[in-house]
Amino acid sequence: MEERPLATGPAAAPGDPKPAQTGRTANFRTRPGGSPSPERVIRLLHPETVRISSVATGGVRSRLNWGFATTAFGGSLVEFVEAAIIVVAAAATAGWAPALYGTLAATGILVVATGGLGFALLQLPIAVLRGVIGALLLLFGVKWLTKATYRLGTRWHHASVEEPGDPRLAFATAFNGVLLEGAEVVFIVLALGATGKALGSAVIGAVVAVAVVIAGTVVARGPLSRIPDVVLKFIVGIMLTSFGTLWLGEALGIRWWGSDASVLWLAIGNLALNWLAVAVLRRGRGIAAGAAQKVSA
Amino acid sequence: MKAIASFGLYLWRFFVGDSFQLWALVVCFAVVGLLAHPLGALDGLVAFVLVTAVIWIDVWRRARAA
Repeated sequence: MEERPLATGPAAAPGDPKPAQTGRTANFRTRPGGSPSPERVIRLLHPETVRISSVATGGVRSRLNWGFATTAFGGSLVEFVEAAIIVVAAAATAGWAPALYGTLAATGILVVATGGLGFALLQLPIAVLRGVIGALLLLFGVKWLTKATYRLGTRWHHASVEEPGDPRLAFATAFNGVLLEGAEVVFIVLALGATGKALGSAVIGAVVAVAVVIAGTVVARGPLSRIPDVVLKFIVGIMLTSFGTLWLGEALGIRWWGSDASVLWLAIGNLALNWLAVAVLRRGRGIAAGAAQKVSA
Repeated sequence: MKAIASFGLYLWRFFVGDSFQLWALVVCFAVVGLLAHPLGALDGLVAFVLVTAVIWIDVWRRARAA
């Protein structure tokens, strides 16, 4: 995770300390004198949206604070899209029911925690949560990706008789993804609420974001259902491996090129190298089959 | 509580049942975590390469076993 200069955003608080050397996780831990300020939390999670909000808030005075609503919408949209990718990935392997149960369970925990703790949630170590969930997603992703790569390389013609995935894994995957991304949304909304006394506007921005993402997910369901199982598992494995690598790496202090956007180059790299593995396996099978035909002839 | 314990046990078996991936990834990220600062901007690339190596080795193991 790259460190952004704090002074670039107009919303920079005058009392903020100098940035630490090791990025987002270290900033949460190393701020002298206790917890990070709400301004700092929102700048660390989504600095770009804070700059947008600073422009948007200029001179706007209404019951709905459009600047904070826009900031919450932008930040939440990114997190909800990531959560939706993971839920769709889980649903693709074992059906929508376990993925939706996992989503609902995580949402319930977030609602109870937010209602019970309120602004005290900002004190929670999000970096630790990110590391644990990243490790779990990486393990799920590598397992699925290995299996799908092997099957694509060796049994492509039997893809249609692929056995269904385990619903318990689909539940756990959706639960983990929604819990982490949802926690980040809660952080964004609470931080904005604490910063500008505009909690209502921030909540409205986040609610609109989740509505947009749910609508997009419903639209994407149809095309996804027409993709062969083994190909879906291959794609799911790539997405989970990419997210898991990113989050676990962030928790360990890795500075990714392009920050959260580096999940894209991770996914492209995983796709390219695993497709290469599929090609190598197919070529090996072809050579072996050709040799067997020569022997029998 | 019993359901949670059962689910935890299932996850444990799921991961430890194929211990190669689990321990390979633990070793990879321990290495990356230790080298994160000396490696500088390359640490992300090293993490990616190590994870890909784990997947390739496991695919190769499966192909040999088949």
